[in-house]
Amino acid sequence: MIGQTNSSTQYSEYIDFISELYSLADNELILNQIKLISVPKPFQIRLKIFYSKLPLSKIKESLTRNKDLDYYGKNGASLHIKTKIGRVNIRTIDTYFSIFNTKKQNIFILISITTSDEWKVISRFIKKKYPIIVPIYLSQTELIDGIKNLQKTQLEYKLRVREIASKERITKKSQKYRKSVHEWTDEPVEEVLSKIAERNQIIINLTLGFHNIINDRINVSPTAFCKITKNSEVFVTGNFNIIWETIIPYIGNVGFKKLNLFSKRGLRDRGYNPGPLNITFKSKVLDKTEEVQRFTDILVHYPNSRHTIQHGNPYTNITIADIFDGSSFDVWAVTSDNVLIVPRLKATEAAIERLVHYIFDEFHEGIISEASSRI
Amino acid sequence: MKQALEFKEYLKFNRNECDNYIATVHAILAFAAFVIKDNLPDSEDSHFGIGRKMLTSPKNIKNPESEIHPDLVIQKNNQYGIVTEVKGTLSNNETYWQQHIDQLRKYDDELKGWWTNNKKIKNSDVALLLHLTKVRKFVKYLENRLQKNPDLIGSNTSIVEFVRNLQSEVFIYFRIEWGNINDPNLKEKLDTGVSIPLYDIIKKFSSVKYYDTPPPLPWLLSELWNDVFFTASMEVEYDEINKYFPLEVKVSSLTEELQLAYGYKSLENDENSVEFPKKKWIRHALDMLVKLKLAKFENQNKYLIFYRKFRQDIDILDKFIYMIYDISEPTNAYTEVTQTEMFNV
Repeated sequence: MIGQTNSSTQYSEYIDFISELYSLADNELILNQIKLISVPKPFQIRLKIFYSKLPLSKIKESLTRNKDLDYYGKNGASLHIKTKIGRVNIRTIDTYFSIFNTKKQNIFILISITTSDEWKVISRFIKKKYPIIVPIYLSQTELIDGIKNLQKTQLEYKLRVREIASKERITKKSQKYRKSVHEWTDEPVEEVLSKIAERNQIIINLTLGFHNIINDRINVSPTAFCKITKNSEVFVTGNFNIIWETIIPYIGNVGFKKLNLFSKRGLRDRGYNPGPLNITFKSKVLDKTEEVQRFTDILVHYPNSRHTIQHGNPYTNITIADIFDGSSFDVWAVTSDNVLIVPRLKATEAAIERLVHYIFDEFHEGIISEASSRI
Repeated sequence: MKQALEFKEYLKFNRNECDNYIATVHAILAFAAFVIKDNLPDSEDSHFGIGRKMLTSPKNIKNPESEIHPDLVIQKNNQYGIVTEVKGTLSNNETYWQQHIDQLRKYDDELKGWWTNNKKIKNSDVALLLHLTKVRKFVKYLENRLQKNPDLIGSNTSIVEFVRNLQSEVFIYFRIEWGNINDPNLKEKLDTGVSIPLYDIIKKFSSVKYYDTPPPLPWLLSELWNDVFFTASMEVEYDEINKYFPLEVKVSSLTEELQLAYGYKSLENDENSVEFPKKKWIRHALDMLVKLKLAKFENQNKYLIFYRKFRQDIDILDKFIYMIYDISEPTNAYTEVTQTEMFNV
């Protein structure tokens, strides 16, 4: 199932094979081949699910404005990157990928067969395209719910967690900091998830093994491994179909629902009718003045933004302007378990997604929803 | 001497001014929500207007048949309404207080301008909403004056204290301190005190930022800089030579958009509504940008803004407070920032 390129000749031959695959005339042919092929180490099928308001052709057009990136294949179905990396040890990265539409409007999937270095280069190009290409951030709840749901529906597989990277909040006296934790396990999903909750860990990525079950007997050798990151990146080793049919649609659906909730929130887009959003926390995380102060400080240090603190303590009211696309918001923390995000004249879904997940990552995770009026 | 006016003190003063302005907007909205909510579920006849144009009656002892603009006019239903004046701050100098009493006397009248067929209403009260820190002093002052002149104030006038109160969440608290409210339901609640969650006010009126009084100048500048100018800067090319984004701004369209987004047009409005923010406030803010060398005056309706994205670690409001401080004549430093005084409102 999982081979390895044993020599530089094999490695080069495999790259030639991938280049041939991506030269196929359309996405459907490419996808069909990816579903069939075996991928040797150090290559993996690496995917990124993202959101964009632009149609696929415009996304590709926008990407190819970079001189290192060009259309590839008979009809330009794929994209080709040729660039140099490294400062001392300069290497050429020569790789391919395709972007696919999904059944969900504005949700796209990028698929590549790449090494880790090649993927980093692709990721860098994609990141630069923000806010045209908007990453879908999976909250801890979304990630965990997805895995739980997967275990419930995929009865022919037992899911085991093989690897987990997380951050753990540690409080010592008045100081708070985080410890990075990287663990290799071989435990059932339920056990790992309950440990994560106990230790108040924030998952960065998680690798699942899909083990076949026949009459309660579990195959020790997994059919597929799948690493899922918070940024909706999925790395597959082994049977691609299982992942394609299960995890990918789940992430796409989460992104679709969330980005739809965030779309058209700016006053100009709504005929000046406000569309505030509410983050509800499970507990009273803002009941102490030092936590309100911490929340204010976190917002002041929001990357790539400008701010005005209208009020800092004992409650927070801060205006945040996102430097990427000119969106701006008023953020209010006036209760101990809620934060209101009030979009101003312009507020793109990309900017809201970035802000919400910054709050989730740096302060506390909550549930985001439409702020409905009680009056 | 400018040194005497320590910047820290100046910053604190201006920050308080800005906070008071926002707190007053919230008090206005919270009191309106409180009165209107009392009429639920029959809220069709409930209305409120900020700075609404009303007409005094021919019998008005201060200004008969004249136009007035109370801070807040609330119609609970077709039979009852309250005319309200809101003071988040009050001068320590008592000689200025008489004008507030005169204002209340003028409002305690059969006013025209309500949301009824004949623009009149059967029963109405007048309430002065005063911040808790000032209310006792003011009441004492009023009672002293009433001993000399019992007709100084109308029979339907009351004084209601308000304060932003933090418990497990932020509330705006109202309690009647002096006088009477003729609506029995409202009176009962205001006698014991009523708390309106700020969270509910922000959700309900999330975009309202102004009322019928000019905001502090640095606050208005920071609002423009962090929102409308910031967004506009994304649409123009950066001027590499001069190191700014050139933004052409028309006072009329800028005012119109602010009124729609954050002003009177974001609330129920009709022919009696009064415009806010006003064009002259915006022009005044743009004139200040010219003084700060962040804009160029083109004509009465047109300015060219030299938009710069200040450093990330700088608070935009603090930045404008500092810039105004920096160019102000020492004696003018306080008044320069307080538009309220500048426009003599």
